[in-house]
Amino acid sequence: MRWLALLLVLTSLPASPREDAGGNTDVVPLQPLIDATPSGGTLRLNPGRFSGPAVITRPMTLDGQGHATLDGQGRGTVLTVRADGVTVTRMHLTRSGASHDAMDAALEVESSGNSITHNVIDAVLFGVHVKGGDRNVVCGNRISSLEEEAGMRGDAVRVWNGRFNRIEGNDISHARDVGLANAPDNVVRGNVVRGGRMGVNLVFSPRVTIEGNWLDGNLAGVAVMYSNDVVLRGNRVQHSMSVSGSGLAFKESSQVRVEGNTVLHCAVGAKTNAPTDQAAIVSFFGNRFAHNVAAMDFYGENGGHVLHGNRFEKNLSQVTVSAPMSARGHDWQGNSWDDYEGFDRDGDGVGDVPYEKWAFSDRIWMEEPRATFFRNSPALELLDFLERLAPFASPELTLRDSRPVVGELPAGGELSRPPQVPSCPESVATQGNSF
Amino acid sequence: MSHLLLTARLDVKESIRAKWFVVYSLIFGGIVAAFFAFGITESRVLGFMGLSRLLVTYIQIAMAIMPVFILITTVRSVAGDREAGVFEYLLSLPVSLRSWYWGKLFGRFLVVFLPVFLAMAAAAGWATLQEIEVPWKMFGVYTGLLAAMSWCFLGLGMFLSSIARSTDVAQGSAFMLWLTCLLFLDLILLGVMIQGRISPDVVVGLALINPLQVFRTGALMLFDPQLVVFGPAAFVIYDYFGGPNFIAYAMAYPVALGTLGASVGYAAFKRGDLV
Repeated sequence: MRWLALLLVLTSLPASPREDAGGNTDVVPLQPLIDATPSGGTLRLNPGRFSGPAVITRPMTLDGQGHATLDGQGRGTVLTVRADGVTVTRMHLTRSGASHDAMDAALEVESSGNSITHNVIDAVLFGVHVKGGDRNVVCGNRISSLEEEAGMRGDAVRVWNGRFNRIEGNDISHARDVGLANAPDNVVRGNVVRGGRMGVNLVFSPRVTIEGNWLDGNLAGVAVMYSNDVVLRGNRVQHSMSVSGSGLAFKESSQVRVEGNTVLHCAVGAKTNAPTDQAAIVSFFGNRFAHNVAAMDFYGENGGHVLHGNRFEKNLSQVTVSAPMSARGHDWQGNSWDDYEGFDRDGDGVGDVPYEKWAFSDRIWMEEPRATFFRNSPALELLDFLERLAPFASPELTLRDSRPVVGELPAGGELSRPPQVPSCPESVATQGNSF
Repeated sequence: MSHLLLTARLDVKESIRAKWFVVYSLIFGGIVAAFFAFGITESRVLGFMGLSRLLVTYIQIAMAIMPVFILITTVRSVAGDREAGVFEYLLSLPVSLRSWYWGKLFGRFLVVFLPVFLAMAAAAGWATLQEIEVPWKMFGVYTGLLAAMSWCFLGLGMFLSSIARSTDVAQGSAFMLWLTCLLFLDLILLGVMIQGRISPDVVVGLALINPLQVFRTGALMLFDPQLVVFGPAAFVIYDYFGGPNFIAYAMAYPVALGTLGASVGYAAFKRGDLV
């Protein structure tokens, strides 16, 4: 009876750290409070510092009310959720361990149908690690990792072997990736990811939708590897200016649809390998590539990708290739090129002659990347000029757009500012599979 | 006033009266005016617009034009004076060879650097009036790089001028030096790099002995801090230097090279036959 009375008190009254005469609060272990909360109950924490690590093993709501801190004290994962239907909201989770082997995180979710919303997560290796769980919502959280170089941090959100999870409206800075590995059918929507390694990184994760994200200053924006039927829609990727980085990167992925994205000021706008078979294509529709060192880079020798209605503006190079045929075998139609040298005398909005790119001396650095050091140097510019003036060898056609658009293409739902934090569901326990 | 300053003042006065100086000033002033007139501040490249965009283009043009102007006009000074018999006259005056030589160098430095700097400063002033944001940090580093490059080619020009027996030889040598720095060295190294027989580190290292390549790389680093445009070679530069260190090198190395050239030139001038 005494325990029952305690449980009733805990579920109805806020839990609070003790305060001494000087106003300093003691760090109170959170685990006993969690253990004392009944299944389906709510544990509301008053402002203060609670100590972890802690584990939740029954459905409940843990509400930090915006002022409660759970401190992992640098040991392992701060909070682990092992039950379905748990909500963790308005908590400050901090100071996990730093082991990559153990994947120390602020929050490890090993179950399904949980809601992780509006938490502040910092000074941890990984942020939220969904490990084998489905239908979880990770929404409206502010997440950053340890002060390490990008590759040595942990992922802000990592989903492994989980389906129908939603990662929405999180504000992420200085973590590694938002990473999905062996995780099909998930949605990554409306997040802001700044200063990380990869904005979103998919490996063996088919049917994922990446939509409306703002990816700024990451080493790479979105990397899609070995993941089929992925959709990238309406994202803005900018300032990915590392030497080996790119705004969008695709490798060995079939039927990927890339539409309405804006890729600005990246080392490479989109980097794609050649289709391995006829079905393994990436389709680019209505994207904007502007102010990139190279808007698109293709490697491999097969054609087959589809590029319709994209805008190419003020890029240093529109297309770079590993071999002359890397790009010319693709289906280029109706794209807008700011370096198009032609007219539209019949006024139908389509250029009178095809848009063509020929490789002259720039083949040197495309075929021998080390020679890129001399790109745009007076010596190579002179060579290029002489080649165009009186070619000693036949230039190679790198691409032909048979119907280049003259004039403005309609903007395709571009993000002009970072997405706002959405209203996240309080609980998804009763929502079931809504995908 | 010391003899050195008097010589410097004399050289500045002579230069200002000379036609080459008028052309030189008009070219750099005209470039900036043309950039504004043709709206280059309104255009963008790699996200740079406004005065940054203007400076990017200006620096590229300055890299090609400035060294040849400095070399061609400087190499005439010692060799030309020797041909004109100025030294015989000089020997009768109480001016030391040291004051004459270094005074000429400092005077010439002011003459070649100031028009370039003033054109940039005028661009910044005009941009301020037009309420275009001025990237002052970039402006400051560019000024440093331009000053270093001016000093470098001035020193090399004085060296050539001191060892050449006639203005024709001096001008020919200066032109060859300019072409080597601007084109030939890079073309040779490009060929070597494509052949792949020498490590890229060595090729990039050799390229960075060239003060023009150092200037180009330093200037590029300001608007492309990761040197993405350089591709994998960027790793070589960052591994050996790091960003801020390279900017320091891009300023210190040309100054050291120019000082070395001028010093060797002075030694040759002092020991050589003046008449």
